[in-house]
Amino acid sequence: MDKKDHLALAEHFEEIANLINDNDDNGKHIIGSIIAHHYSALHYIDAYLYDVVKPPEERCPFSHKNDQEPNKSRYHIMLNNLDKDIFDRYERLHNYSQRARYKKGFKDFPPNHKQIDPFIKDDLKQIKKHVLNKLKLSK
Amino acid sequence: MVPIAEKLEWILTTGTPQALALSVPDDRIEQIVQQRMQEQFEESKNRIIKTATRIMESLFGEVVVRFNKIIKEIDSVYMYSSPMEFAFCIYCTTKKIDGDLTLKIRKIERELHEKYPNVNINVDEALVGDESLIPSYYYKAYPAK
Repeated sequence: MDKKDHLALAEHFEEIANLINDNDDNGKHIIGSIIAHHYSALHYIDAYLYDVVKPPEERCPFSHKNDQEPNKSRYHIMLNNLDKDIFDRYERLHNYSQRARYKKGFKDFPPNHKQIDPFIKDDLKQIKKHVLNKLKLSK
Repeated sequence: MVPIAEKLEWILTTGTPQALALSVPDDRIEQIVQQRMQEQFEESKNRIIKTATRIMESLFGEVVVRFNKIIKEIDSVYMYSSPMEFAFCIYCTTKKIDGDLTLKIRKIERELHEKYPNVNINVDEALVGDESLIPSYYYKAYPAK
């Protein structure tokens, strides 16, 4: 996968996030929305990291957080290459996506969708803006 | 006779390499060597533990200072530290979901990681009522029992 592939996937997941948001029934699909926002942000970030660290094209070389191998750890690479605010926003999206999938978020988040909706949308918006600006692809 | 090296190559400044087999006459020497190695290993291990413990104490102090700034927004804080694994983990519970607070928590985790780059630091969040998510080996740091 190269930078263009990551950008295409980022846009794909962003469209899914928008589709879910447009059709959401009182937070029923907030879990899908969080995951789509997170994956869109992830591919925007990876599009930028592709430029920065030139990973092999065949597979994703990153694990999310690997203290033993920081050169393969998205967390460490982002920390060295992204603005702090963008880093924190991505980490928030990642954290909510993890909680939605692996913890009790799928139960806790639907009743709290009004609190969650605004910040996941804003996080993705800011991450996208930052990455496109870094890639000089501002739209 | 206790062999201490199967083969050593002694390369003379002039001439061809010479193969040597070294042996010592008494196995007490092997015991002494092993004992010294064990002592050095224990000393190094103790130094690493002391250093790691100091780092964890320092990190704990940082965590307290940073979480005190947002403590009114947090219901409880659980911690776990393992000096030998260079791991420091935190779980905090909140009564409600608050976007600003979650961003502050991510910022704390990032700043701790920047200050202690070689420590595996994790800050997790859960809502009050979901304490079953917190591993049993964490201890409750706030509110103190």
